[in-house]
Amino acid sequence: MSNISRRSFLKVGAALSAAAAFGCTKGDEDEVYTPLSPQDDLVFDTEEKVVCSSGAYNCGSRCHHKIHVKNGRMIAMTSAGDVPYDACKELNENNPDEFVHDTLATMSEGKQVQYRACARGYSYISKTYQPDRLKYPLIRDETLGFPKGDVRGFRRATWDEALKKAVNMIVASYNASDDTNIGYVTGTGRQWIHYNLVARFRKKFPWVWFNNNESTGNTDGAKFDSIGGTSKSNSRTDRFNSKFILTWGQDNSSTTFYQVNAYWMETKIREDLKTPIVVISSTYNDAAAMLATGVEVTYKKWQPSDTTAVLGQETEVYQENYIDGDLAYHSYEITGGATGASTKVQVPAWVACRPATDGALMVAMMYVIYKRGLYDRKFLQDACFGFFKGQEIISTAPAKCQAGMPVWAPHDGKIGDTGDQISTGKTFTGKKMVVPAGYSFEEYLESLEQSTAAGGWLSSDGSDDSNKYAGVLNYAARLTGVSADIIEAIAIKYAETKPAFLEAGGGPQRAYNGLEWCWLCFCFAAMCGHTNKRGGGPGMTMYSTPDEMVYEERLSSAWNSGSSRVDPWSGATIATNLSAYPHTAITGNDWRTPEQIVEAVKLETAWYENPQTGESTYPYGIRPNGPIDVSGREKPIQLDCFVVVHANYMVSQANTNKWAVALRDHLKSLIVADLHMTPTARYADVVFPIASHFESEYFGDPFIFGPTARFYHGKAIEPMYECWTEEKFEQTLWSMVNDALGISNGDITEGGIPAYIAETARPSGEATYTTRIAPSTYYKELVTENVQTPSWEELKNKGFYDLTIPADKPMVGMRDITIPGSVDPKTNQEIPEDHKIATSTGRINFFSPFWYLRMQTLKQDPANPASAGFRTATAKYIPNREGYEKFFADIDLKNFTGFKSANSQRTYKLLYLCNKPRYRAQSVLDNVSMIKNEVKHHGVRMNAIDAAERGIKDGDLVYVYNDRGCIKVHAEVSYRLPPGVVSVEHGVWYRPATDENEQVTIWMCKNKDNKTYEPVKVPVDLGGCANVLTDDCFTLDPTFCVQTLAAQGGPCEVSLTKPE
Amino acid sequence: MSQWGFYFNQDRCLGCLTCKMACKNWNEKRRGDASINIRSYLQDNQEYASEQNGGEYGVGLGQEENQNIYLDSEGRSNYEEFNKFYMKEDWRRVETYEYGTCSLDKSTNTFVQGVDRRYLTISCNHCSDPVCVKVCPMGNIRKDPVTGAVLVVSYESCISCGKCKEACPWDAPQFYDNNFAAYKQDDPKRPKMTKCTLCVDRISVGLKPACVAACWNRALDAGPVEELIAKYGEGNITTTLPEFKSSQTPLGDTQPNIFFKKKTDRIRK
Repeated sequence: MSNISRRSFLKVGAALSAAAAFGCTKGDEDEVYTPLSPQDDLVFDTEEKVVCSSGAYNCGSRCHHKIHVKNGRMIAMTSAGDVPYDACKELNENNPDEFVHDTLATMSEGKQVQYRACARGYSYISKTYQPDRLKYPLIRDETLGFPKGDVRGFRRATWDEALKKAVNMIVASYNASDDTNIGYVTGTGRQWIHYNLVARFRKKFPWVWFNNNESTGNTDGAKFDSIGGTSKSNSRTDRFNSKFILTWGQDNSSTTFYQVNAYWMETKIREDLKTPIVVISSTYNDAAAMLATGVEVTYKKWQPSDTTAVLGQETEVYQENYIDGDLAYHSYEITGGATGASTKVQVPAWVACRPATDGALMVAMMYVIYKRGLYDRKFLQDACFGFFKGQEIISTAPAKCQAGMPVWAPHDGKIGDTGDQISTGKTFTGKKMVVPAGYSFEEYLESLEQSTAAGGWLSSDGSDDSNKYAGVLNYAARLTGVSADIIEAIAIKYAETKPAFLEAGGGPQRAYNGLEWCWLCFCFAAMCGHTNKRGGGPGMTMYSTPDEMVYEERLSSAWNSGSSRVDPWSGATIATNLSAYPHTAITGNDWRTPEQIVEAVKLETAWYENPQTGESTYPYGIRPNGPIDVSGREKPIQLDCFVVVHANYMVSQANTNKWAVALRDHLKSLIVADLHMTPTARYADVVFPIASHFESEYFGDPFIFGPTARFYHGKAIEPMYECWTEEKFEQTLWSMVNDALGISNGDITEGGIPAYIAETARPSGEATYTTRIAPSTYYKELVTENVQTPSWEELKNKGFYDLTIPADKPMVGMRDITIPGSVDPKTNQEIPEDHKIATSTGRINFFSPFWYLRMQTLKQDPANPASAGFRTATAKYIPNREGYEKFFADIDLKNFTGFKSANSQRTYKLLYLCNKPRYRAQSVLDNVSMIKNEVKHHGVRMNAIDAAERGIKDGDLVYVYNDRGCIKVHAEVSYRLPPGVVSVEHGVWYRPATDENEQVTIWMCKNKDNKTYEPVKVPVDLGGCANVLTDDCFTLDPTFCVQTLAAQGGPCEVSLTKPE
Repeated sequence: MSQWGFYFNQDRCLGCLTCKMACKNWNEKRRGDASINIRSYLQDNQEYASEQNGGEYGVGLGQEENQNIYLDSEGRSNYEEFNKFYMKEDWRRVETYEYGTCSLDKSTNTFVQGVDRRYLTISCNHCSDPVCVKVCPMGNIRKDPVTGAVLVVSYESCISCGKCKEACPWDAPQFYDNNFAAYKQDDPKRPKMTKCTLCVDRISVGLKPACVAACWNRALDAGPVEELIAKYGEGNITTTLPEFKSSQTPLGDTQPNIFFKKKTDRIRK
């Protein structure tokens, strides 16, 4: 590069301007070019130091970041694609692109060599350097005269003062009520230190603990007694073995689960293996637009005279692409079924389905498979329970699941009249069970051929009676928006393609009826025998993959977090639902009836013995003083104090306006620690400034559905301002609480809380690395003995470490545990307890004995739709609360009127969808202007037909509202959504209008009867927070059942004018 | 000289903006206002905890409604204040194109789906006969002798006349404030043209441009033109896309150095 100075450049530049005007390719090239080397700032800056880092803040999948640091500041970020292209060429003569463009070959060997960042990652520096970083502790000072929620009410405080105030609030709350009074919420901290710490701590405290999570709650709840709490899907690279990929409600290019590099792998599968991919989604996401292919399916039409197929002799065992003979697909001689002419149907790349009707679509597909006899009878008989009428089995349930949680009966009872007696708290193992009449899945599918008046799907006017098959599918089509022939085509393609992979994601499960959809996913895969096959899988990817099993030890927050707490014996705390926190803070009641809460709290705080060992099997201890009785209390669950770390629940949880009321008027104290003044933090009494992930060193594990790689989180800069790292804050606060309550450190752990955090909850990066990098025995057996693990110093330089699973040696998560009985036929060896499906039957349940028993005791109050209770003991479609069925005047779904609210008397004609955003991780990054400004519209998306009917043009400022609130945002008008559906992306910060004219009336239940809604004036939200629209009434037996929030499928309207 | 160019595979791009974000990250110090809008609070560590805002929270306690991205009731925000601290110029631009419709068949209440989405991301095409070079009255835009990149010679010599921006079919010349003409000539804040440098600094040490290295779905590539053609195959690439504006200008064909693969129709049997 030229050494001439900038000043001399200027002179040369000016002198040559005339020559340049004729174009640089003309004239004397030497004269023109020689002095015109690039500006001096276009020279590569070798002064910059590169620190390896990784994603954080609920970006669960992680990726590889290189942070360029100079003079103590972060200058720029690059990612895994920063490899010298010439070096690659030398390494790979034949594949010059191996490193820049991973090849199919390297990927199918499992080598995802580059974990490149997505757009979110590139805004992390900006997040750290936002001018509005919290710089020192703040205390709400009432003498300033501002109400809670007004940021002017804070004053600066020292750490010492702020910590003392926080401790006093926690202690006061603890002393105010003897048992049930501290709500604990945590969130997007770096390593979920809060979960680990509080899970340990709470054996000394009567916590109110949320038994759900907003991301995977319905998946966790559904799998509990359908496929087992610790079941696993297949390893990521097993997608290479699939012959058809059906992606449902997932877009790997946007989600924080899996990650963009899984999308890239699928791109290569589409391009090079020509695997057909179909995406079912309520929105035309980029999986639908850019990844999916669509597929053409040929099948026989159903004739009105056709009858349900009957399976005869087994005719064929598919030999291809499975591991062992005993895990083969089976097919049969079919009598009956479809006999009509052959037809060709083109399934488009994007199959649009109305929000929260996904379960109905799946049931309709299972109906098609059943009627045509395309199911795997042997698998359903041997590995499942409850598909066939009157199926009789002896339970092979293990006493506990792999995570150590017991699989015990919740109540006394029998499964079927001739079943064995089952006792509360005892294992199901060895008990005879018979599917009770009317409870089999087969009977459920047959019951669809009843009139709508009788609970089926045939029109009550009799018009479907001549062709019931068509009638059932036409009802499903009217409900879901997917035409009958496409429903048939996808069902047949999924059943007949062996193996086929159902990549069911997190979208449809984020609904009131999402749990049942997840359950159906497991059943859908099981019905076709895909569950335990290479290239198949158990039906959901939105939960644990066996990729985690490549390491000997892996951080898995899930089993001690709320999300897997599906048994009441796990922690002696009061379980409720995070969505119900505002209702609980206001009424003392979490949507359950007081009687239900009394019963649940007794159950949750009682001493239960493990019938086999006589000890508590759960590591977090048991209340020594016996069950807590909350009967007769004014507030059965008293929530006085929330401690919130790195979370913004007002934005990320349901019913934001109700959170505002609860936080402002009802909650006694709120303690928040965060990087920024979030909408939730504005209501706090004390706010602590926390350092970003760039400000301390650690070791990064992806979430359990993420890649196999582990990442180094370097410390790029010193903690800024007066910020403390999260662990320093936690150690100090809880040590002080410990002392104030007179609990000796020894009760928590030897060495006290600081030691506990350092050793267990969040050991140092190096200590964590050494325990979590070792390959597992399983991995060594399956893949290779030869694993060279890098040293901690080597990891620092490289940034990440990966143990890869080749596609031809996939980990099939359900391979072992779908063998019924206690002996593996292949090895003749006893199957270990932890290789069994941890359900009440030891099988995949279409009918759940556990939930059946629970339902016998905990009856749902039909007059109170909000009351708790399981909705079904058999997998089935459950209509959404305020779902699309309620938009019709008739139960046949033929006279569309819109949703008529009894409270507001308004009519809503649109369904809302609150999908996860590409440019935020939940609500994180919404205040970062660098990324926010790049997203042109972040308001409401709607179909052009709906917009035209309302006189709305692209870019117009519109009001989106329902009975729960109103947002004012810009409209994005396109065909990205089907007619009748609007989407407001999750996670935009709530920004209430201060103008008195920007107020609306909403209806809010603040009564513990759970039924009385009263009008409340609230400000319009000018930010566009999706949860202003969502429903907090969601609790469904939180004792046993985890849930996500009801984000999809309720009624709303969009208008250019403000509603009354 | 070995002329470099870009390759864009439309079949892979999903408009995720990672290329654009990576560009802004890498070129942060080259934004037009890099020496004007400085993060003063990052000047040195002493100031972090200083009393520069009167010892108040963040951007000033009590002024948050005006001093933050929180909008007031008129929908006004203080984005501009925050926007000062990152690159406003879009050296790389990502556009979305939607074709067809998704409508409702009222007789069956089902969706009729015929929508198709495509993306295009372009920066500077580092033309072989760049029109910006021809129209610049200061002779301030030149081709790099090593890579053929179209570069600004001297930031100071730019007079912000905007002729390059007008002439370029793809809006490659950028200003940190598009209202640049409103600034007085002697205003030190008057925005000057900046543009994609092809990351010649990265190329000089053997790395691909930041946007290319960042693209996780490998829709982008860059390299010497003859290498790109050899790598992707002459029959598989095109120099035009329906979404790509014509390179014909009143001063002739600019000869952009960019190759495309069009989004394919992919229904599988």
